[in-house]
Amino acid sequence: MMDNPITSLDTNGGLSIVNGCVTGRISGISLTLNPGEVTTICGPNGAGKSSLLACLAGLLTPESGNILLDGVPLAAMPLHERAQAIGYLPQQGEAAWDLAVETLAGLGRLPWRTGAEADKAAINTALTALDLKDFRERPISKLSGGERARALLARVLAGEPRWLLADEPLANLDLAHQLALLVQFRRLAANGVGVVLVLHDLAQAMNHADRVVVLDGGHLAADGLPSQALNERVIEQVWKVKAHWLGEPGKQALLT
Amino acid sequence: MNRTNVFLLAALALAVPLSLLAGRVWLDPFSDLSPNALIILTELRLPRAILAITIGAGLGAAGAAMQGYLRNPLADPGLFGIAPGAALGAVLSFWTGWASTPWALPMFALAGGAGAMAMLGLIAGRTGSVMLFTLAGMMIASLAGALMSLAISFSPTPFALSEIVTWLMGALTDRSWNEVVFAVPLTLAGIALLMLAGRALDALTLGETAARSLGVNPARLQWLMIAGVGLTVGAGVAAAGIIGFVGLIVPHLLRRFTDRRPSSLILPSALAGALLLVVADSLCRVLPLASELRLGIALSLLGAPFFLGLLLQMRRGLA
Repeated sequence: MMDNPITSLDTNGGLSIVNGCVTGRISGISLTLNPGEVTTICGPNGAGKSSLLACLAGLLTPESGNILLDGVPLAAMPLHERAQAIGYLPQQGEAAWDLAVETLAGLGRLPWRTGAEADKAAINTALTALDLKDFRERPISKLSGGERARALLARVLAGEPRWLLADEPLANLDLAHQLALLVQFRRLAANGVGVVLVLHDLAQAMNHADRVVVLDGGHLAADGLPSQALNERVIEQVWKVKAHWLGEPGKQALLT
Repeated sequence: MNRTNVFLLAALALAVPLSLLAGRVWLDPFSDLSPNALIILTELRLPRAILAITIGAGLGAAGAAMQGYLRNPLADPGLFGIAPGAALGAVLSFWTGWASTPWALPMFALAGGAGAMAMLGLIAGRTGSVMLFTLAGMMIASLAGALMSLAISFSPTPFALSEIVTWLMGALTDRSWNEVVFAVPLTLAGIALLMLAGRALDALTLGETAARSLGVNPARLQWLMIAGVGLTVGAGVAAAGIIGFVGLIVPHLLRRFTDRRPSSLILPSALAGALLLVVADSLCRVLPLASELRLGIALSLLGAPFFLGLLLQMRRGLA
């Protein structure tokens, strides 16, 4: 049934969902995600990817089951503590007001009450990491699509989260910007952040993730190393598509 | 304290003394005040100026918070149905004849505003959904409007009818310390609640989901908005009737002088709202007309062309 080599449900370290169910979206999902890894959630449309991500972020409360952060139920955590630990980048990155990039990034500091100095340092670090230092004064209406996506990610990074959960962060970006963001995610994971991405592009998941979780109809269909969780048998089973991987590891392409 | 706030405070400090001197009877600050002039100053002009400051500040702050909450630069405090609710209360006090009893009118109005707040809370429940909340507010506003029309069309006497219609137009004429006594504390409390909501409103810039991920509790924010807007707008309507446009125009005008976060717009909007009402009310007093221009009408007359200008500017941006 499941290609599942990493299933040791040790919920003490990491972000776990235990037997999580949301009617019509996900049913009976249990897994523990590890910090320092890039995990991608894949699956066909309506498989429950965004719901699983929202549950893990504490934004959707499962009807049964538990979400645990380092063994502590998210539901029992004060909201600001949860917000300090878990950064969430929604699919539709919107900003109602035409803030300057620096002000936008500053919104990521809202869960913290550490004072202006710490805020400034964190905002600077985030802007530097995303190569936005020259744009700090610029209103977001004057940014290109790629710069805007980076500015919205800078908002999350400014909150210095230990977990970064992003719902299709690469949608609507051109190839160069997609790769630039993937490099960012890898760098964050190297710094110990747990990165969880919902991705549609299976090749990107294959090449850039440490671990892939495949959902199908709300169930866990596969979970493991990309080469196992996204093997041709799983792809045929879940996506109903006959496909072949081409190329060397790390630079594979999916031929359908 | 940034430059915008300092400038607005200075302008207010200049406008208030001038407004105390201006009116049908001009007071000369450099001569000894006659007993009559002293009465005009302390019993008429001073409470009136304080009311203008209070109501303007309340409307400005409520407008800024509403625009932040609904993420829409065209939102107005009237949208929640609290102003129509309070106005309905006041209309009923005329209708029942209670209005001639001291305190009855503002009490009826405050009760009407509180009723609208309670209905909002009940309908929107604890979901914290902004859309549900807005629709509930619009429903309450149109219900209160319909009931007001009903009360007017069935008004018991022509006298009551004219009282109602005149009062609805909004004015600070003939107000006294009685109104100051309840309007000031209620408005201050309301503005304080709106300021407390500031951080959550900032987070809402990114949308409801992202705001929740930043630790915002939508139900708490909704409660702060109902109570904050309810207290400021309810107190304003109870003291002066319906005064439109301030809550819409003032935040809109000032946004460009702030960093555009909703939280940094609340205080300047309060100051500018106060300034606008003090100036507008003084102008209403000194205009050489047969009877005094109603403040509510004056602001609408001022507001419409202003808004047209904004629209034309927007159209140029779109072209």
